[in-house]
Amino acid sequence: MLVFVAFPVVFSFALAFTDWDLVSGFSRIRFVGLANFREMIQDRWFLKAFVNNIVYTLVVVPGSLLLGLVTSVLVHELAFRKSELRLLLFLPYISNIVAVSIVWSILYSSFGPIIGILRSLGMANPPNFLADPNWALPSIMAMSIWSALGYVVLIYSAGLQGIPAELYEAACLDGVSWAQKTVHVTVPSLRSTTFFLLITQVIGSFKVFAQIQVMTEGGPMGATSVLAYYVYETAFRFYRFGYASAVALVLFLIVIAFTLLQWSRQEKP
Amino acid sequence: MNRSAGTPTARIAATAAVLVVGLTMLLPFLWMVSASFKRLGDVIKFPVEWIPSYWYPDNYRHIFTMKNSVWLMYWNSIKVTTINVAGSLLISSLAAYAYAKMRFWGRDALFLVVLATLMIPTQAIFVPKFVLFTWMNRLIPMINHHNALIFPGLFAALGLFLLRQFFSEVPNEIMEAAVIDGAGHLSIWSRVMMPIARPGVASYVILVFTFHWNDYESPLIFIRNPALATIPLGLSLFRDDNGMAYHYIMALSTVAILPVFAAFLLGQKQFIRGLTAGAVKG
Repeated sequence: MLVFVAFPVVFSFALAFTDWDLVSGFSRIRFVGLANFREMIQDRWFLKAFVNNIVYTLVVVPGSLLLGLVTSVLVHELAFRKSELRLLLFLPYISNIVAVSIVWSILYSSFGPIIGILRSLGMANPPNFLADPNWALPSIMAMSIWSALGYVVLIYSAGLQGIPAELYEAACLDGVSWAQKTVHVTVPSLRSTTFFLLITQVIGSFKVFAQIQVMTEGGPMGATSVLAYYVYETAFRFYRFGYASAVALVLFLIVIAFTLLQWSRQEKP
Repeated sequence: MNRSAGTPTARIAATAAVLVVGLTMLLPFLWMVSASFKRLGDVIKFPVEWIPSYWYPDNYRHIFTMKNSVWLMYWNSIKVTTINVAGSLLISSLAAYAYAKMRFWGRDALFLVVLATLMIPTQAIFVPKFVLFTWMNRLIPMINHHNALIFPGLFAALGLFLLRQFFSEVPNEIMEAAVIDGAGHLSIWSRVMMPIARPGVASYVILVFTFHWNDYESPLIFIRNPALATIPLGLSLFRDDNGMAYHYIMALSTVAILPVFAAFLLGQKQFIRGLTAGAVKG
């Protein structure tokens, strides 16, 4: 384990301060100090990937959490056939993300059914989703929410089952409405569940890769590039191992920060 | 069990609302299955023919008989996943036993290192891993070889972490009783610990299984030869080579997805417990 994890981490830190492509061999490794980081803040492709990633996080995480919360409360408290419904919601999550991304890229394509439906609804020029720089990222974000929803519902459902019935009985005695009960009893009781989901989904959103690589390869014009994809692209397309390590370090620090945040909260009783 | 005070109307409305969300979940899969039985021309026809007017099972014949067929992808995935699950279970349960019940120098400090490695995002260390594997290539084949997908997984920290939790909870008295009966560490591990920790072991197996079955990044980076591709990589390579052959691509996606649905339906409870294992602290 030390070989496969600890060594790469240390080595990665070191590489971040060098200029190196694997092919030319070890002798050509060159220490460049902070040059990679200086380049990064001026590299518009990096900045684009960084901003895209933040947008992705700010949309997908609240989107899936909110939709997931509403859905699981509805399922838990009102709906008939609860377990069947939850199962239905869970299908995208258990499907392989590559397969799902391929299916969606065809659904979104100009021959696909989504554009067909929009046309038949009277839209003369429906957006060419994944090929349009303005629409590509929103299209991928929508699919990501779609595929994450089942997991959010699963975790929220577990949380909902843990709320003690006495709380609801007390609320009933006070004669509050269903809406008040939801806002004042259900949502606050789910606080730790929400926190857990928030952190894990934020971390997940900074690691997002497969959707991007399969559906758009970061394009068009970098419109859907994100940090993990940019690391992959600089390393394995352009063979700039030093610079890629520097970008990976940024990704690493962001994820570690959120992980530590989660662990520090969990320590508390 | 049902503490809701909802009126029948409210309940029907809620069910309908969730059903709409649920249908959104289902429709892409229905479209996929339906397209997989059509000729290409019918796939892109609009309005969508949900039930094909002309059934075309040849798509499936193609993907099962082509070079680097679905059989091969499944075989590669099964091989890599099985070795990973069995190997990491063996290694991490032995290590977890040592960490939970034996005293040795530097134990707690080492465990902290193990914990720390859990935080590292895999995406951030692909570059150094690639370099490492390139070096290792001189000793053992790694790049463009299944070893690259197997070795790192065998030493994953997650199993050690989860199983140590379970082993720690086994009372020492049970161990002492086993020692009096003449059991050594190995038989305590195999006859006492593993059976007691069975629910934990099951959750861990499911977690590791889903991770390796779905892993896309490692094969993408370390495997070039399409004959070695696991299902996710095979799918993506096939799509790259047959971009417009939607009917074949959908047949391949169906074959990749539906068996997982079936497995999930059969082992639902275990699956869900496994997937929530990380969420609920033990």
